[in-house]
Amino acid sequence: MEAPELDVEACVARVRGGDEDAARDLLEHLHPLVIKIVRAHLPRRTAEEDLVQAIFAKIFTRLDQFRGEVPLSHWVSRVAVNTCFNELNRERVRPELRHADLSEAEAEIIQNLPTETGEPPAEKALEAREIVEKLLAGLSAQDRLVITLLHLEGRSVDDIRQITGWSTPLVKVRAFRARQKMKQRLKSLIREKPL
Amino acid sequence: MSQIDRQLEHLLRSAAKAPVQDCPPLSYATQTRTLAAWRAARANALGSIPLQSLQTWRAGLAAAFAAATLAVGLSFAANHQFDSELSDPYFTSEPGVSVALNTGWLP
Repeated sequence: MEAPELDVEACVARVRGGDEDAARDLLEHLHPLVIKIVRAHLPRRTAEEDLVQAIFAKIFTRLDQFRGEVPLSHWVSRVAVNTCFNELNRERVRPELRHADLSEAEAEIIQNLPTETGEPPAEKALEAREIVEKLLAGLSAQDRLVITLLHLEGRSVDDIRQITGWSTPLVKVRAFRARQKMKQRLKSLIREKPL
Repeated sequence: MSQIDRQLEHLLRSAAKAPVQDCPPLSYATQTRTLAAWRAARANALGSIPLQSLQTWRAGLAAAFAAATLAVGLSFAANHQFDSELSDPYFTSEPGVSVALNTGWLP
């Protein structure tokens, strides 16, 4: 039997009143959303569980600041993305990507990229994602965030503006610059001969 | 669109198709720690004094301090005046005795 849909508004009101059962229900309800965001923006040296806990601690201690002007999921997304962004910002080391860092399947994708045409095959999506993650690891937190939101999660510029608090032109400029940097890294990776 | 643009676009579109991993169940540790942090934050919020009350308290303390200083000053001034009267050479070199016995009128 499926669990009944949670009345989020009523649940938040009960949590504000100190109802611990409501807090537990809200935690269960928000967990899939938070874990999805954490997985999309997880810094290399941070444990997924630690980041999830940090985000939930922020959400629950700041719940009084939620005024209900936007859906709770938007507000939670913003808190989660900003927490991940701050963690990414702490990463000082931006590793160089070499051909030797790629797995066999990933190297094959890179080798075939110049001749690829048409729709990318779905069966190679995981390897492609790994390559993109490796390319993103060399970018700044802002660049990484905008590429992930725009190209990997398929969010609109307006969505990104709401989540990050950046202006629309700033989102576009950052996306453009981030793509330029990714192109440079990809170009050097394609040119590099495998050992 | 240059070749490298197309290649990056192809790679990004392919990466976006990657299947989403299953969401693991909420761990007991996460649940317990989050609820503990929430309880602690609530306890702090309930136990803390609002800023406006603090300002009222500060103003009250300042007023009380000013009143106490004024009272001490007035008391000191009054005592000083009394001492001056007692040490008046018209009476005697032992003013306390002079006042107590009221011998000033004696020839």
